[in-house]
Amino acid sequence: MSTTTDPWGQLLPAALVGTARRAVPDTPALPGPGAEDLHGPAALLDRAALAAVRRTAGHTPHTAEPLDPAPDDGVPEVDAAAAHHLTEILTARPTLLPEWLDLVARAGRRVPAVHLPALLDRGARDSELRPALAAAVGAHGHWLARFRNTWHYLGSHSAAAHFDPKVWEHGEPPERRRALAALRRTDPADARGRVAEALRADPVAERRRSLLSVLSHGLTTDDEEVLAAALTDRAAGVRGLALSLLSRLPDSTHADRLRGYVRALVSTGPRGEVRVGGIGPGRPRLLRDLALAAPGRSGDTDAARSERLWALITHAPLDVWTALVDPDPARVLARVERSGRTDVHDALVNAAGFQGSAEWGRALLSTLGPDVGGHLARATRDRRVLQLPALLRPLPLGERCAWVQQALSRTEDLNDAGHLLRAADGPWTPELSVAATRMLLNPRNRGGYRALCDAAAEYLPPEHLDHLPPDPPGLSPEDRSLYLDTRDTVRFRRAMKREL
Amino acid sequence: MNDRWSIDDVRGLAPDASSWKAARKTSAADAWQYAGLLPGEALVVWGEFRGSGDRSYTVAVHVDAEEAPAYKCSCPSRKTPCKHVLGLLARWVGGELSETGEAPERVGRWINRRAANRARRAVPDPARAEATRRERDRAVAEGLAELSLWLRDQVESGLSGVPGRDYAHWDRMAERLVDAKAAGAAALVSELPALARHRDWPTRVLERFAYLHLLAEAHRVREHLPDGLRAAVHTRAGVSTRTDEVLASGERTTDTWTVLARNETSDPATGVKSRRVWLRGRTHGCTVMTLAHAREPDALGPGPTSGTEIEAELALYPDRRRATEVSTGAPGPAPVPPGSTVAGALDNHAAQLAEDPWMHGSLAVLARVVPARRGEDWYLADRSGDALPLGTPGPWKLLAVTGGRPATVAGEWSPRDGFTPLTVWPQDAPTVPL
Repeated sequence: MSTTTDPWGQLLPAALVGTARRAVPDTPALPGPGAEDLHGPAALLDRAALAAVRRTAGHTPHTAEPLDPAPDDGVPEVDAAAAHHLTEILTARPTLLPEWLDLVARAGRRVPAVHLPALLDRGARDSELRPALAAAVGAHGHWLARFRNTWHYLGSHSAAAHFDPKVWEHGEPPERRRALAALRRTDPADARGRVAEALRADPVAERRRSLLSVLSHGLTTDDEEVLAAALTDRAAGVRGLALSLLSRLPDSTHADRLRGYVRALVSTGPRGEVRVGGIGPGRPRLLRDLALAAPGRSGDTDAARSERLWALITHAPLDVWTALVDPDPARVLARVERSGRTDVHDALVNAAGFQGSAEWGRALLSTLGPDVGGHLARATRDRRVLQLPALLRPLPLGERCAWVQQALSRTEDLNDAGHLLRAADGPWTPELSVAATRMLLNPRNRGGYRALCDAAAEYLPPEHLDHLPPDPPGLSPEDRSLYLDTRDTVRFRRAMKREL
Repeated sequence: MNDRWSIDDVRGLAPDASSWKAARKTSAADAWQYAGLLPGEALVVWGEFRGSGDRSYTVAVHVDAEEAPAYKCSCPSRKTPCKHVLGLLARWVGGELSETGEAPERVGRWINRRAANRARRAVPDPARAEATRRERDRAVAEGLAELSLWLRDQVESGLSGVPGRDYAHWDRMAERLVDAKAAGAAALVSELPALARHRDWPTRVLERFAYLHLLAEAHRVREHLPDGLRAAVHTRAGVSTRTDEVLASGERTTDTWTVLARNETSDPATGVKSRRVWLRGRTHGCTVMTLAHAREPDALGPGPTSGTEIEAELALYPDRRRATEVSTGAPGPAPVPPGSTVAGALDNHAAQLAEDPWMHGSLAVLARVVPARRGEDWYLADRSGDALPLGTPGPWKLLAVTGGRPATVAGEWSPRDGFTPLTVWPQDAPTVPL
């Protein structure tokens, strides 16, 4: 439609100037009498009305590109009863969402499509939910996640069914990531080469980081070269990821270099004391190996020095300490503590959790065992590092539960009990479940019952419901109400499990 | 007691938007010392309103089935009904009032006087009701005639001065229309200041002038218009029809109605929630809409579920587009409704514009449409490739339930706001309200 024949385009200028000063234009495109028959403002308004209604009534269809439909992976949606449970979880029981998603994935089902937007939004806010979500949304959910930037995270938690070179060349970032993850499973070296290429060529840091994370699956020392190159990436996020992947490779030359830095720094004295030197700023190679930025002119503060030491201890394989100081990790920690280096002690405790060392975790837990409550209280008071979940995680389930059960038997404090039970993580052994139930029914202390209940509600195996009496005696009114809520949650979890 | 009155009817009594807004405060329970229904033959709602300071106002409303309600309030407001009357009626239709003891003497006297006058008139006089209607019709006609002159003045002197106009310029015309009982036209005028601030103000303002001009002209020749268009002119001008009138004398239609879609909105200024429900008769094939308003979140009730069908007798408003339930049966599952192509939906919209050129949006049921994209914008496209733009920026739930496969989608279409999807019938899956 050109401006000369569009009646609206003709009428508007005349209306702006006013019919007192300009004649009503002839609008041959509109029906009705010609210009010579009508004059004045009413004629203009008549035509404007015609033009306005005509424009609305004459709206023509647009054109747009239909989407490629979601691929059908043959995974069925959960049935109505399970979908009903999800509705209740989303509105009233958010803590049960991870468990429900796990059950869905295990049952070989996928979440109801209608809830996908709400679930993907939750994953956007809560990164811990993402792996479970990625496993439960099916190809349908991964298809949907492409269309919204805040949902792109989902691509980082799963692989496509097979590597499609077309997707790798032309796909959206999350799809490329999923394609590369598929290739990593069939041809790790090819995937590695493509990562290296992306690290060189892709200008967007988040995309480089996301593609680099593909190497996390099936990581070997063959990947060291690419990772070492990524340590010099200009984005801190990429460097940090490369370092954390490298620290999973204790046989790499990178790990050897870190061991060398520790050896140069640590010495033992005649009376068993452990001396640990400082790391000055003039160590570019060391800084690069720890993914740290080179310090500026005012960079050599105490805080910067202790940050460097902390990073080194966190990432250097812990075996260098047992080789240097004492074969028993517990004795290493004791000697460091005795030498007044609480900072080094805490860094080692943190490293044990970070590196997932069962040997160090076990050693540390055995020293904590007799008085966990006291240790927890002192750690809180003195702001010391004591992350029980991280220390327990590397241990096998039975050992983990047994340690927590023993620690429970030595504490009266219900807040500590709740903390310990959470640290055990699921699924609890029958023995631990019995111990937790006993505590639930006979709290020896007044405060902290809620912490105990929260842990039980989330982790107590649902088949244990039969051991929870509907009306136990001896609880205060507040505790009774907490107990009944807990029992109700366990009952809900049992129903939820039966549906899937 | 109040099943013949809804909050919608109370709003219809408000002389202007600001009174209705003020009634939000005056309908709060703690603003009233007493409020209740007076026992006896006449239905009288009365109350003592706590004013500012230590003043209090006595408010009474005589709700009469045959005549318009009569109000009395001891406040000094010039507006009739005042915000106290509106607040009291809002509480009454909300079911908050019950029968209470004796009312103050002045309320009793007022009622007795009314009863006496009523007795003098004996039976309601159809001639008198017709006279009232004519009176009102003439008032509206006068108001719209003035509007017509005002519009000509604006266009004669040119729109270029529009952005510089102060509120008083527009308010004078809007108030004049309120006085003339043409509340609908007044509302269209009172939106002009907002349109004048719009980026594309010349088009917006001229468009609104054109529609107002069309309304005034159509009203002038109302006697010669076809029934449907005439009903639309009255409704748009603001001659509202109360629900009880529709129930009493509206055309009835009985059918199995498929619940196509429902759309709930809330007005942030007044806190009033509205629900539109679109129904399509299976035998007659006509599409109608029911409309309900409420202030309290739960007062609307659950309402019918999209994708079900209900056996119901409806009473139609004069425009035959809006309806109100007379009686309804139990809901049951409904088959997927037949839909049209994009071109078919646009044709239907155009046909409805012929009946009501001021219509904002129409309901469209699109068959076998898929989500589509152009740049960052979302569309629904049919098999021929024709597409309608979506009004919602991120149609995520629609994408999720269709998976990009063809589905039947019901929604409201307007060329200005795009297509708002409300209900989806995905392939081989249950109906999803959006």
